[in-house]
Amino acid sequence: MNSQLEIISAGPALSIQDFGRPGFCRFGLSKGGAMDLYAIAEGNALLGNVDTAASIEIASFGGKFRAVGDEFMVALTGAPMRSTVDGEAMPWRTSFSLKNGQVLDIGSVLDDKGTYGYLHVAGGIEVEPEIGSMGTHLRAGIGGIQGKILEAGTLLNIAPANTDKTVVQNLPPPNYLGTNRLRILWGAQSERFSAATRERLLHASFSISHRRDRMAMQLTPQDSDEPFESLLSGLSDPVQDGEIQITGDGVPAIVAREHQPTGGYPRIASVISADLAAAAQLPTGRVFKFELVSYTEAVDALIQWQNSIDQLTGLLQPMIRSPNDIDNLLGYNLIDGVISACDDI
Amino acid sequence: MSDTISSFPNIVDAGDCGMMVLFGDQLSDAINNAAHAFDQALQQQGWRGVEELIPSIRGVLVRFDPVRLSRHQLRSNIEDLLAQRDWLTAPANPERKLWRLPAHYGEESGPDIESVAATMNLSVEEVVRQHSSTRTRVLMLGFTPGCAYLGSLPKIWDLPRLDYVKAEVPPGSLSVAVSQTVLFAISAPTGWQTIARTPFLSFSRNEAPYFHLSPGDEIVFEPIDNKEFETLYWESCQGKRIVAPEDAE
Repeated sequence: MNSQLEIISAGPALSIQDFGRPGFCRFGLSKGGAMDLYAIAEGNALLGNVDTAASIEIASFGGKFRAVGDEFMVALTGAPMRSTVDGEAMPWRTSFSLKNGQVLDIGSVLDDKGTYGYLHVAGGIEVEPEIGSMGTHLRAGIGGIQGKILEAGTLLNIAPANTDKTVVQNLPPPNYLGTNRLRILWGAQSERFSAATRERLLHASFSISHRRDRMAMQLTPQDSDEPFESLLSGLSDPVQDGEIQITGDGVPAIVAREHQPTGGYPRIASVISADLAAAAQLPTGRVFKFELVSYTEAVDALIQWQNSIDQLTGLLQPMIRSPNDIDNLLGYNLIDGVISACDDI
Repeated sequence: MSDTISSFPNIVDAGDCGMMVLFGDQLSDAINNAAHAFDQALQQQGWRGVEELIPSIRGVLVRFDPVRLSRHQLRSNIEDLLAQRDWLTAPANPERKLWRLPAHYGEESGPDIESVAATMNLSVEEVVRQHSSTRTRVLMLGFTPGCAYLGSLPKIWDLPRLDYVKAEVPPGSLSVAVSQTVLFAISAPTGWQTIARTPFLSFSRNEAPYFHLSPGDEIVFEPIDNKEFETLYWESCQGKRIVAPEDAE
């Protein structure tokens, strides 16, 4: 098997991602990794890939990808995006094959169902690992292709697939895409903020501002234009994924995968670990609220989350016909039916 | 941390997978030493379910898997360990290293040295003498990979940050503010004043160990001229280790 994937055109923020590099925060390197780790696990399950396989993370808009060489299997997960192969619509969360010369065209997110989509290939994208991972840490300039966003014209190697089977299978859509609430816990610094500010965090609605990337997502409060209470920065303390920090200008932001390992901005609360993918997938402009939960609820949610990832292979549904052969595939309703929580707030 | 809690050390929950142990609320060598000593002690415990220990200027963040180790159990373990001694007087890690790092002060390596000298009301020579001869320690690594916060410098070095951020300083830059020096391992933006540059690269991405400086290591600088800098920097970039650490004890 000798296959490659050529990027003919690239959306604004494509990057090679995997589960990241844990364990280096003490040396100044945050873990990084895909913004939506559930979507990475889905891709690995659909294609029988090893856990360390690398995929392409697509922020908001994909691009055109041409298959080069031997036929190989691919799968798309995360936020569903308009996608076609040679003009034929292709489903999300279903494996399918690409033959030499075929072009997979991935457009923008469908139905405002998320932000990050993932393109997986059987065997995984192959780049030289740096510090134990192929994933791109853009801020540190590590991993991927020279630590950078992928550009048009790049020819990516594909590692040998674990299996030569070309089973076409699909997964049901997860229920965290399209949520309008993020569960939080108070954190180590919450009590530095006034009671009124903490109340505001719980009662106001927020939207995700366009100022978002893999490092942090700024929030726009919907209740008033008044900035949030900003406190003097303290001594730098370790920073964790999901913490909600308030910068000096009173703008709240959810800290994301490529966070600074340490920081001095006070953090008012933490999004629970089970909701980190949901937070990352919130579409820009989506109005949502924070919901305070108990520590026990947070841990129960984390157990549930981990179980749902562990059980993914059991959810795989073989498809009798290859999606490549099905006409009018979207009519089969493969990507609809996401359990949406975006009813009224 | 709650500022209303005035007694240290204290243990505070930080999210569902984090617990912070704090030894104080200010920059102090004793507090930093306690943080590093406790980090060492935690490493030796090897508690099941502890996933990562992140020492900082004034404490340690313990990242754990709450499915394998309950928060209650972790807190109780930490309390027991805290009670074993006065961590503020704990001996420094006997395995810490002393790094004598060459540094080219002023000129294009340290464009802000004159303004720093003027602020401190010292000659540039005296700034170089004081900065290079003060043995500081790696208080914490953070900001960018391998980026080391070194301190603390004498009170006279409690310099303000710039009122703007420089888009980029090159790897090895030594920038000062708030009684600390930051040693940048990769190029980065900074609001601190850059007085020198070391040709020593504290981060090598292609070969383990990737990070050469550890929290608690000690540093002194040895002034070199531009020509020596160029030579050593070129050697560093070729992958040569230009500095061999010594035992600090």
